[in-house]
Amino acid sequence: MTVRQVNPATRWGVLVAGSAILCAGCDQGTSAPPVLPQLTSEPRIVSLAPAITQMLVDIGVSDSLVAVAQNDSAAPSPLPVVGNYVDLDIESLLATAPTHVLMMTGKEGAPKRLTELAAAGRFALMTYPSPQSVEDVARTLYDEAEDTDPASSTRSLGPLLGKTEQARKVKEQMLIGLDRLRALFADMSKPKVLLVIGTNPIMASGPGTVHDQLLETAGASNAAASATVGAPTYDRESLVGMDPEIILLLLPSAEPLIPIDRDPRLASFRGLPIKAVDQGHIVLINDPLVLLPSSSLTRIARAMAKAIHPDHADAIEETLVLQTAPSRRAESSVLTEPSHVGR
Amino acid sequence: MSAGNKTQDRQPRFGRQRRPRAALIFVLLSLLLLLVAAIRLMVGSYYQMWPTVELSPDAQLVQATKRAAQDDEVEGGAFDLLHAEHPDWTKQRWALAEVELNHARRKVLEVLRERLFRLTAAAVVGLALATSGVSLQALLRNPLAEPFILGISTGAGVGIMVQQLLGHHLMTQHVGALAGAAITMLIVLLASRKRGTLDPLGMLLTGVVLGTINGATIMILNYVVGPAGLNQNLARWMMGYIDTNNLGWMELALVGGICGMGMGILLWQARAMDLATLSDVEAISLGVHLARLRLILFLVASILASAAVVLAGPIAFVGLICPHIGRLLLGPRHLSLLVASAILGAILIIVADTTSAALNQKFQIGLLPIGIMTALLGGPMFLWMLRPKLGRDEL
Repeated sequence: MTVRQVNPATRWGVLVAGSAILCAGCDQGTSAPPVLPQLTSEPRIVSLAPAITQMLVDIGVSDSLVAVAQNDSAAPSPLPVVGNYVDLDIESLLATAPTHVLMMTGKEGAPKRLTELAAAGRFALMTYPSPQSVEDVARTLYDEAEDTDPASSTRSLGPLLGKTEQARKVKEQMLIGLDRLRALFADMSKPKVLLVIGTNPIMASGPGTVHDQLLETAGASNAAASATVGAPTYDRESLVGMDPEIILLLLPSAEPLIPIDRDPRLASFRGLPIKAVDQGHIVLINDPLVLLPSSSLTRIARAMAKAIHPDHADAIEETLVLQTAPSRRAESSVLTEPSHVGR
Repeated sequence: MSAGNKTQDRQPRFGRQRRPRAALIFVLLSLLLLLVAAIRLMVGSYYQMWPTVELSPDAQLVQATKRAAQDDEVEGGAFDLLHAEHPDWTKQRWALAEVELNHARRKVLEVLRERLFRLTAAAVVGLALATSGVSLQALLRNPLAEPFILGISTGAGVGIMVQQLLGHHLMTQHVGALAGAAITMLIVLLASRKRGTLDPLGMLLTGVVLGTINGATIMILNYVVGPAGLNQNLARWMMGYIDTNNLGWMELALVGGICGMGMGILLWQARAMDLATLSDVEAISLGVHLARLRLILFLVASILASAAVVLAGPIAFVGLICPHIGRLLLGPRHLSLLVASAILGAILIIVADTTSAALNQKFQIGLLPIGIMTALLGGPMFLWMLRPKLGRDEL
């Protein structure tokens, strides 16, 4: 067997050429001339938060959506997916040539690479704080304060996308709908309700959350009001101690409930001497958007109210604020009726 | 000196502990176990001490009347006694008050049942993890061996994810966990056989590699199945928690029985385990059937670890530190080490569960996962006990 000798000069040549190719590849993202986004023409929007996607649908700019994040339950039609907020696929994102990238962030802020690309003029990056209340959701849609302070660094969705009037209407409809619900139950007794957002183990929506606020609007008190964390977990002893009158399961797109002795999601409640179980007041709300802090909150609050006060279903329907210019999504969406536990 | 005497001299000095000291330690450990068990029954995640239920005045009156009727052995029943004093009482009002009393009684019983169930489950999990750790440390001749080093916990995690992917949401996740753990066990068993016997090093390597593969599989399934971040149920499961929601007394008795049998088998093999800590040649020359022993230890340790995983998810650390604490207290003899480790494992898990319940009662933060509590409580204690021996090559 013969071993082929490689000339040292050839070897160095190959190495240098390879390194040059690699460097060229690495530099691809930054050395390309920056392309300024065309903000005035038809926007091309990438939404990295389902809550924002829903708001865009409701203010009538769903046609401008070009990509969404993974598992976006609010996306109106199959759209390219550009990863998720912890692991963005920048290449796919750039391939959609967005003019706007919209996202919700916590304290950590936007990913560094996104801010770099935005600074290079590849797109306009707009970040909104994750909503902690209905008011936060409303401000993300349309913020009147911007009218008095045009220099404001953040811009709500309506003015940003040239849909100020539509966003203002959606916001008004949302707030008026919630106010009407609140007024409807203002003088009624408020049953103690446990809002379950996870079933194994039981995880509830605690105080200070958007859904806690919705529950109060829907004429109930939160059984987990004394919790010191936003999503406390409970064992059977704690459930007995809390003794909720109604249990609402907020499980997006979940299968309907089956009798409690056969449904593993209800295993934690089996045989518990609590009012909700004794009286069969366990209700599932499986609207795909049930956990989204978005413009769909009124619809979720109404579903909660119907589940809590079934005797007032007609009055709850009357609180519905008719949309003046319904979006494509709103026309096609059907409110999931609460599913009661089988007995 | 003859060759036979030399061999005898080189036998490990396992049986030379002072028996009174060992007996005292066992008594103290048992008392400690009883103490922590009693405390667990008194400390709840919601109620301080015993549950108290506020009764309406009617229910209080009915309760008092019933007691009085019982004490005085009144003929005609408690209702007549009450009716004699309060003619306005009707049978319907009495019945309503009785319903309320029954409801209150059910509440108290349910809380006590829950505490007793958690206590029993914690003891079983602790026993299973600690004895599995002893068994694996003997099998692999590695002081760092612990029940999940062979990839059983991650295998169970894969089982849960596959179950979710297949959409079998109407089946409890224990089925998936058990299937995943069993398949992993089988792969390790088949992959680490060398000339008809289990090779400890091969087993260790196979287990570690399988653990990595399983971990990657969990992540990719999680990525495909769910939204960003780790699936909530899986994340919680991986932190380890005693699942009282999907398990009843029947399941607990079954798992407990299996663990008891496993413990019995290990105790029966304790002397052989002592000898197996020597070299292969020495152990075989002393009459140990190494191939059979390794198979038994592997199967029992894996089954015990799987049982613990089914009851409480992968609780790390207990299977590692309890055998070491047992050795520090009683020496390396496996008979006493197994018993001591089992008691220590039970104590550690019960204390962790009690602390978690007490913290929830005080601060309303929900039940912290047991896996976190065992590491936070057991880690510092272990380091403190180990302190005199650190750096002296005595482990």
